Amino acid sequence: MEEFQGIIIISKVFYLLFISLFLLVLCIRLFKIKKNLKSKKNLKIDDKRFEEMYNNMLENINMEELEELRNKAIRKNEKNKNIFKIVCFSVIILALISFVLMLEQKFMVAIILIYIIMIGPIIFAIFFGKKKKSDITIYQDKYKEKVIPEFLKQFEEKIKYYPAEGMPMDIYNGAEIENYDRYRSEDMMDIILKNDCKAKMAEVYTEYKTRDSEGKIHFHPLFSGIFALIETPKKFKEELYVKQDKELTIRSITPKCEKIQLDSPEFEQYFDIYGTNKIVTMQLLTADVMQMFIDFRKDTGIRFDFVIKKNRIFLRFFCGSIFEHPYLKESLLDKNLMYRNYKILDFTFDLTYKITKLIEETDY
Amino acid sequence: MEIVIFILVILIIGVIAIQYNSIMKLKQRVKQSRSGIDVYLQQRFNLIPNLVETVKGYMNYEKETLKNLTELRAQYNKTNDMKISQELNNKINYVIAVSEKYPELKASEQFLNLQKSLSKMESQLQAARRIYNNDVTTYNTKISVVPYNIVASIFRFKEEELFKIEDVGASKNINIDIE
Repeated sequence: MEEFQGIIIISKVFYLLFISLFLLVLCIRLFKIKKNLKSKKNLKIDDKRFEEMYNNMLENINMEELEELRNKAIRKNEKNKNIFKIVCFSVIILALISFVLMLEQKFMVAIILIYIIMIGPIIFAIFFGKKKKSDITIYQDKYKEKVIPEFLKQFEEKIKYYPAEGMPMDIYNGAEIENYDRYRSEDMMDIILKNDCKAKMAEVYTEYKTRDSEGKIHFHPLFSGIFALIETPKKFKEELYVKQDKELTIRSITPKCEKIQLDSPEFEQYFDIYGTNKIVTMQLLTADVMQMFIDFRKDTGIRFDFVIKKNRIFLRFFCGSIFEHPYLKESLLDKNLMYRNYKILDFTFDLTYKITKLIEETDY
Repeated sequence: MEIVIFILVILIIGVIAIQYNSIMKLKQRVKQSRSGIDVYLQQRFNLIPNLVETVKGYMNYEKETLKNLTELRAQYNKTNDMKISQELNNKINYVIAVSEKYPELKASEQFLNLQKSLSKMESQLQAARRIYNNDVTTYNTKISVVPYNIVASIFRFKEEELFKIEDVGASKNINIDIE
């Protein structure tokens, strides 16, 4: 029995480590689901233009094919969920049995069970992960092919959508809004606005890395949402940053910018303003524009940054993906989600029209 | 006992000094933003002779206003008084608003250029005014709340006036009969 003592101790340590890790993963998963549910704010839909747009979409999109794919994805998803539940349940039961066996000094059986607990979920994760991805991806691709172009067609602006392309990294860097370690972008839109300004919008994901005590690198999300670039016809010498209050992800602000206090306490509640010129900042952030910012923030609950540099306007919305299909169990054309996406684009366009007009009026 | 009184006196002096400094900082900020307004007002008022020269041929019925405008400008140059500057600024806005009633004047290229310059300056002035009014509000609030109001009354800090610009088009119904 003594010769097994070492193996028993190692197995006990492994056992404790694995159970803690398993519980941690389970907690993170549950927390993420809860967080997602919380962040999905229900918007009050009171826009006639959107209603019209939504009805047009319902008429124009052939839902049958998409519905079929969605139902298939739901079924697969349910199946995968059940498998996941069974695996979790089995792990807990096996863990309890091995614990009882250890108490009864039946170490050999307990050790075998512990290794089954450890290896089983890994094999399952490899198998389960592959299966889950393929079904949802097919549905997602179809959704992007059918729904998104139809949605974008409803706007008066000329929008071309390229799902596989992303925003070039140097454009994102041009905003000097954050320092990141990993960058990814997709779902690019090339836009020509009604005032002939050119714009680009895309989904962007950035991450920063940390090293743990063992030197292993871990990546953490920094920004996930929509990033927009609008080129204005007039070159603008000054710089202006409107950032979310107490925004932790903002790591660098051009040193020549100073914090500017505005005359709207409500606006200052949500945003921090940095600029190179007080007068120009006031000229651009008129009462109308400030109200637009506040209304959008209040209505949608989406945090966003706004930057003007030279002849470029940058906007980034902390909204996650806007081109993803709705939750599988929600309706295919989830009105609430569509409205949220509509609000983002509509706000971007309206703000651009206002700001470009105001830039024209400035002497800088 | 004496030491306690001494410490108390030092403490009170310290608190007063801190409060005085913070009020003074705000007053300086008001002064700075006021000079910002003055710059834009001066730029705007420098266009008055051009404006009078351009419109006097067309606006026969506003001779008194134009004369008044020139007089006020001279007065402002002498005194730099804020009330006069507000009046002068409102008069300019009035003349621009009234010009809408004179089609020939509205078509004049010289007037159009002048109008463009004036409205550009108006936008800058509005921005400077917002900065100034914001600073004045902060300052006035500070000197009116306890305990700063005590220090303010000891050192005779007075409330500053806000800079108001009348929205001529919106607040007055301009009605001119052209025979």
